[in-house]
Amino acid sequence: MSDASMGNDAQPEGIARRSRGLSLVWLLPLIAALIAVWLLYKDFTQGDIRVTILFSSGDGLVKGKTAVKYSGVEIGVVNDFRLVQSARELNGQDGVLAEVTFNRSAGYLLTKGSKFWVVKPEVSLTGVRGLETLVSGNYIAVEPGSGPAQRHFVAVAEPPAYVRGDGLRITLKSPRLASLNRGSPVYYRQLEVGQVESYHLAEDASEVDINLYIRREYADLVHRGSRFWNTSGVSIQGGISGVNVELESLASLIAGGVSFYTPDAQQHSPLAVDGNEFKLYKSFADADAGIPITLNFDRGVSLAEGSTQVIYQGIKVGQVSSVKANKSINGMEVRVLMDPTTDDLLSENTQFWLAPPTLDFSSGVNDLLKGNRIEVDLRRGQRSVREFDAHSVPPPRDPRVPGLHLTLTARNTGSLQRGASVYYRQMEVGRVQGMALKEDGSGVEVYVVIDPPYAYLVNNESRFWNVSGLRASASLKGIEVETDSLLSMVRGGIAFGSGPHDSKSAGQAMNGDSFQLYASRDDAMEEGINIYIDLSGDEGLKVGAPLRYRGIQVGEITAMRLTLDLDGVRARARLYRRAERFARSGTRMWVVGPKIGLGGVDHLDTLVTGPFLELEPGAGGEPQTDFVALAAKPEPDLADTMMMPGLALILDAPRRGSLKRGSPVYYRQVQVGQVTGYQLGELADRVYIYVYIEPQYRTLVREHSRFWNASGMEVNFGVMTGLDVHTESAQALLAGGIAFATPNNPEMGLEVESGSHYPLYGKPDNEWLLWSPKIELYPALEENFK
Amino acid sequence: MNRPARALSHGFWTCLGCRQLVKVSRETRTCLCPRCGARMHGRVDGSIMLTWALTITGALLLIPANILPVMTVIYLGSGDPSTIIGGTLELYHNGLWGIALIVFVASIAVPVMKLVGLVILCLIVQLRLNVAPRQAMRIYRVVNAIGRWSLLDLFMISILVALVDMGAIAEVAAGAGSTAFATVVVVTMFAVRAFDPRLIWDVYEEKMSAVESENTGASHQNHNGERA
Repeated sequence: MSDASMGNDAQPEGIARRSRGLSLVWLLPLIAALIAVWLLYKDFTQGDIRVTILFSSGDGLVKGKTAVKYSGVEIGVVNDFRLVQSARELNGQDGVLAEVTFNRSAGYLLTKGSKFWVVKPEVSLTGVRGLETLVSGNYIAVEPGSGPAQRHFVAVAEPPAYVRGDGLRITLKSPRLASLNRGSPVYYRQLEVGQVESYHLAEDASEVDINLYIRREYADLVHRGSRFWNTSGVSIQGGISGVNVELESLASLIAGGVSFYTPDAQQHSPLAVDGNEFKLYKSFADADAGIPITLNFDRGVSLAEGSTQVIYQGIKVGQVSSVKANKSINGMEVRVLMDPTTDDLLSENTQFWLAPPTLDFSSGVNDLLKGNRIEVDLRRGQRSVREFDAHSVPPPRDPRVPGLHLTLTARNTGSLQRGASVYYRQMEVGRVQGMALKEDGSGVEVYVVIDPPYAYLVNNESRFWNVSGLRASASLKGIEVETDSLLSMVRGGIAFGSGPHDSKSAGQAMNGDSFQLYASRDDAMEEGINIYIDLSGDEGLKVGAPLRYRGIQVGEITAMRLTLDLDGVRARARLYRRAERFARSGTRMWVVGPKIGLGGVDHLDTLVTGPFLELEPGAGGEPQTDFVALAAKPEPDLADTMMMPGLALILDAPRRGSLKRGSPVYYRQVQVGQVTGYQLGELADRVYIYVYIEPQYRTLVREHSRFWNASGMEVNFGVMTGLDVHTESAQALLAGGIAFATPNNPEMGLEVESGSHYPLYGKPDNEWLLWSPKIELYPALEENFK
Repeated sequence: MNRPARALSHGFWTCLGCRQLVKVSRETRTCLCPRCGARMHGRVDGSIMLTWALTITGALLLIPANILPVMTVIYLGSGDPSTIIGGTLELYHNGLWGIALIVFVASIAVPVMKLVGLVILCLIVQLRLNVAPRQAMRIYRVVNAIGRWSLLDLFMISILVALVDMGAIAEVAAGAGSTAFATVVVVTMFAVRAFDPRLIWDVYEEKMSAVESENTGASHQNHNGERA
């Protein structure tokens, strides 16, 4: 206190300064107040709204956690639960009343008609929904209603159908719901453009109405002509034509879905508007084709839904969409979706028929595996038809196909099939259109069309033959296999070529000309004539057995059949060209087979190749086609023998002995002739044995020659001489034989003429054996002894 | 009563810049320091008004600080912004009541206590309440001392924001509430600083003088000077 009073005057004076008004610091609370007030206002206006929602079950709801979401935004949270006993809104069941606090901003959603439901993760074969709730937990979704505000709600069990947003709403009609579900996506080119809003049975319960919601920006993709098909799940269609797997997207695999597109032809159809109705096709394939038509088959045919195609001249113009029996179960009603381009060709003149698969290596094995197909002959007509009577077999011919149309007549067709190729020098130049029995049933008419560029190849003298199948012929020369091509082996085929007389003057074949269809190339090319031969039947001849003359084949047996009275076999044989002159009277023929005898072995080759017919031309000039085959090679009869240059003798014998035709005649154990035959004498008191002596030996036979039977064996046994076995020859021992001797020169007598008779002794005198006349043989034949 | 003399009573002011003691006349309300040229007041100029303003600002800012989220913990792409109270409650519900207590004290109790203390001090001075000045001073010291500790929250948030930044997995983002909260803390610190504790003693002096004059019959001669 003393210091203060002491330095009072020494202290400096403050410098006076003017004071100011209100401090600027009050701006701070002002700003703070503004901020706070604004925030408080906002908080108050957006503050919580308390709402109660009655659930039938509190399953999956968590106090303080379960959110209420709208458009993916949390707008509220479940605060508390309360059990409600016998809730009136739930038909007396116990319920769970959830107290939910909503954001103030969501207040407009809480109106009469608002719907609440619990979104739970739902994974099933038909759909995945609320997958996000696996992570975030269940939540309550809300769909706003309209009307006065409301604070108490009853939750719905199912999400409401309605999809929020501006868009196109259309209805699909489907016989089945398939695996579609609420929210199933709608795809356009695999882009999700909408969803299934709801579905319900149509009024008459015959169909399901599926309501689609297409987002506005995609609404102009939907035309009146758009096609919708179900892409739910995997669509696997298996058949002989292969397996067709359709899968739009993995999501649609699980959730189901609908796809649509607009065919090109329908691109200009008017845009769809709300409420339009469409058909929901089962698959893309179903939706693809355009015009539905119905084919009535008069009997069951094998067709595959969704895979059997309708072909017009090799082009697919439709596809079978459904197959079912008709009402009277005696045929089939086939629904086909035809290409819209065929619209004005579906007339009363159009015909449908079922075409079986044909094997065509040019198109791969596909064609065969594709199974049956329906072929159509599209033609314009007076009126448009949508229901047809279809044929289960293709029509035999189709004159509209360009090319040269010919009719071939055949007894049978072999393995010839419709569509088989026609070859010219193994080039395919045409096709078999079809075949039909002739009206009288005597044959088959095969309708062939030759492609236009090759039509000039056919002329009046062309020969057609069947190259179907495989022909093999075996002989000692080897095995010969004849086939035209592998394809023709399977499918059959026809080849043609110019006839055997290559004539330059032959005219061009015209449309509709008729030709014969030969069974083989040989048939076609060989002209010849048919002759008919009666056989006894045990010769071992077969069809194809050759007719030979001097070892050269001049024909062959083409058919054999029993005679009507079953007493023989009648063979038809064809004489080759240039061998036709065998078909005259006087021609003889006999079967040559293997012959094994003591005298030799003949025709051993026929053991392998089979017997053949040997021909011998006759002198006659009259044409003749019916012959009787001789049992064996014809032996010259007496008359013949007389005519021959050698010497023909007749021996009178008491018995025939073991003599037979061909038995040798010996002179000094040299064969000089043979027995040509025998016959009983006129009075049957003796046997005439005809002997033929070769010309060069004829001088050996004289008036007093002695003939004896050389058959058998002579055995002399003596003490001094020992055993002496004598026979003319080993062959004569068994087959018999005749020997003769001529006396010595003074007694022999003159030469004799043919027809002379001699007695045939049983055995020679010893004297005869000692005769040794000197006789000059015909000098002209000296070379024979060389 | 034998009380020590006050500088103000004897017409002296202290320059708050250079601590120069300046003699002023009783009429002077403000002047400049003759030595350093700083503005001088007998007491801190508008101390009560400034304290009031800042205190009110702080109190108002408590509202956004509590309404707005202070921090958003984003875990695997999703996260909830949490307010102070919300976060505290969450901690408490999760059983971390110790941490919840700390957060509660640092984030709510301390700022509120500070504001309450400031209001009490201001009221004492403004309304010349009959409060023992030593008690008032105790309040003042407590308010002064605890002020900065409220920044603990912000400290923690800033560290979290810096540390927890693992891209898409986890992230911590500071919210607007933390700014408001920081403003509250800073404003209250300024408010404490603006408050001149000498006023408490002025009030006390005045009361004592009044008692003395009642006892001694003296007039209220010092009244005007004290109110300066």
